[in-house]
Amino acid sequence: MKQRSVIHYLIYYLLIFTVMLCFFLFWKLNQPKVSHEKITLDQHKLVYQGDLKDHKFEGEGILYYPNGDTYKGTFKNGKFHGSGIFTSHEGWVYEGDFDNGTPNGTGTLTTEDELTYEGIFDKGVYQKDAY
Amino acid sequence: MKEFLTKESIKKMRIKWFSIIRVIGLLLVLLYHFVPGKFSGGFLGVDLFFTFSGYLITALFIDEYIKRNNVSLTRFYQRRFQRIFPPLLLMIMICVPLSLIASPDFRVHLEQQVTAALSFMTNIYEINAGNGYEAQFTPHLFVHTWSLALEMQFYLLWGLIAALSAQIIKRLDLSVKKQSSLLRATLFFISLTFTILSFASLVISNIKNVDQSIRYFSSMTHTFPFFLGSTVACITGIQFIPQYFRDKMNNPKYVRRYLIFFMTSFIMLLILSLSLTFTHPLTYWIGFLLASILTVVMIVSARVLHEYSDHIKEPQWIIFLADTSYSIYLFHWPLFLIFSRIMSTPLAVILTLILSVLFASISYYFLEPLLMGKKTLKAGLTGPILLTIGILLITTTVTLLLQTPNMTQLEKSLWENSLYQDQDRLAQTRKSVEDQEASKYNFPEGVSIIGDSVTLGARQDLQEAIPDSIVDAQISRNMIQATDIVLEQQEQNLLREYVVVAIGTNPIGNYEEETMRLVDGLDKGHKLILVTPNNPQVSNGALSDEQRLLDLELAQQYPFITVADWYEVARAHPEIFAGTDGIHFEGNVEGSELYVGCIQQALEKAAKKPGKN
Repeated sequence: MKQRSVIHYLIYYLLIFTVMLCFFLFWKLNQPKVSHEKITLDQHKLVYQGDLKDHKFEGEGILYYPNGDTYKGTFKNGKFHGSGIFTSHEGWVYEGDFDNGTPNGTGTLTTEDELTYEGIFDKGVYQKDAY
Repeated sequence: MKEFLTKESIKKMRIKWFSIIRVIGLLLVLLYHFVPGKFSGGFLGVDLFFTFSGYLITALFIDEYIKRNNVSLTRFYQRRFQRIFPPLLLMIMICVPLSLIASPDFRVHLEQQVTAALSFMTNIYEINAGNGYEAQFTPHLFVHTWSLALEMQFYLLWGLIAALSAQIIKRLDLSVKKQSSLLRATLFFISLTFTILSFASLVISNIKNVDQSIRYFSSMTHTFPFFLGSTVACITGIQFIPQYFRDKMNNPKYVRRYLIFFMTSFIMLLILSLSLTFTHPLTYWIGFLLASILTVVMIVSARVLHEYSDHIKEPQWIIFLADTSYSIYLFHWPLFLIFSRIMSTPLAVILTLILSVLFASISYYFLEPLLMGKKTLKAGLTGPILLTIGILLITTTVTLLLQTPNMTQLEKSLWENSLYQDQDRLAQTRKSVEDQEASKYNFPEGVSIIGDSVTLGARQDLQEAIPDSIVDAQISRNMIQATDIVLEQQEQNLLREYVVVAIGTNPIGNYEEETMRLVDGLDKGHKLILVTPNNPQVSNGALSDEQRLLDLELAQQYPFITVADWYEVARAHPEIFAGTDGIHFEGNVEGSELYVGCIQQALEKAAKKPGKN
């Protein structure tokens, strides 16, 4: 009787310990997971090297597109956000502000012929009379 | 208030018809999940469970105090934990490995779901997770454990409050009867206060339009059903009943009335389940409250009817379903989710029901008594076999949880597509500058002046008067040569921003073609100044005049072209050509000044105009 009681208590405290452990792990796992690594998407066609938060691009990083385009700069929630440089495989470059994936804010676009367009970009569109 | 003491012991006290309430709760939830279109409000079954739990816990608590004149908080917690946790653990150890047969999407962040479920934090987890777009396509396997979380959180708080109240009252110099009445009254007012506070927080959240997931899952806004149950438990009871309630119960004429109450509440709950929806505002304004009130009416009615149904036996299957209802609730959701992804819905429902009942029975009749020490294993192979199965399940579960996917396939594919879409949008950005004037071009600043002998005569003055200018002039130069020079300089990146072409006194037949070759061949950003020729010669003057007319026409047509109408200036000042061929002013100072001034004026005009697009 006494022995059974000991086993019973052991199991009981083991279960309590499980709850405590899970509570600790739950708290730990719910902290944003930040890392810096190289990952690929779309069957290794998209290559990213840089900061990640909760497995999405966030912070500084470089994204390589399969056609040779690259984006180097800051990301948020997996998208271009903040400031960065997008270099097209065709030779033109956009450098400046990004908002949720799109050039937005001040920036400079330099064409293949090295013409420079500096000013405000509104949702991806260059504003002629920005200044 | 006088207490009524029955002869039965607490353990044996089983109120008839309470089982029906639990079965109704279970059925509502099952129907909500299995027939989502029809029983759109079946989720209210959970509120029924909440109200019933609040009632039961508080009534038993008071019963224990009256019986022992004491309550043990640790025993209270232990009992609740032993009832809730083992089936939960079993469910997770079975469902995590089973998820392998369905889409890997179910295992996305499953480790977070499992730790949340096992530490009774699912409601918090679901609030944090929010209702993302992708989440609606892959429901969480263990989202239903939110109700356990809330229940456990209620038990922790309410147990503490009730035990503290009991401890304080116990120390008062009062008779046991008075103490228990005081405990009832205290708990009544505290639980009533919490009911009001919790419901008020829901109302405020409704007014403030707080996110629906917060209103539904929060321990603040959704605990009032528990407290309402508690409140009613204080004024009624299970085993020990206050006298005023006993008086009511003892009056047989009320039996019929309570039966009608019970049936009406049940029907109204059914109507609510058929009419409300999870997202409808009414659900949050009155749906949950109404469901809790109806449950309370059913509980009180059942408690009264219990007294008058000695002769009726509760059907065995109802008792069975009531006993296993908690575990069936636990198992049905993940099993149904998994099965409905790999087979037709009716088949999934049948398989879910069979397996849920099977696992729930194993849990209720075997595992739980075994863990609580109420049952022992016979010597033999059963022990080792069980241990092996247990270790296998735990190992598989932990292994799977260590390698869960980070996002659903849909979420991943949406993300990948958005990255390609942003790439396309940047190509659009590149296109958007196409017709715009650049801020900086890839050519030197300043003025390139290409001319013939007339320009050559004013070369020095031009270079001095026009800053950053360079003159390339030659005798007998025509439009073909001038265009060649311009394009050649452009190729070598020597051509400056302003291009002044002073040609035409040596006219050519295909002047138009050559002029257009110049206009078209000029790169973007340049500004072209065409100096009209002044050629009064009889032999070819007419052709020069045609060149002038073309220059004027082009300036009209293209904003980047400006005309320096030397022809007009020259004709207005015939004196500068005194003694010359009428074309060259040959060192005439005034002539040179006029020529330079004409070009300068045109340059000033051009400065205000855009470059070539």
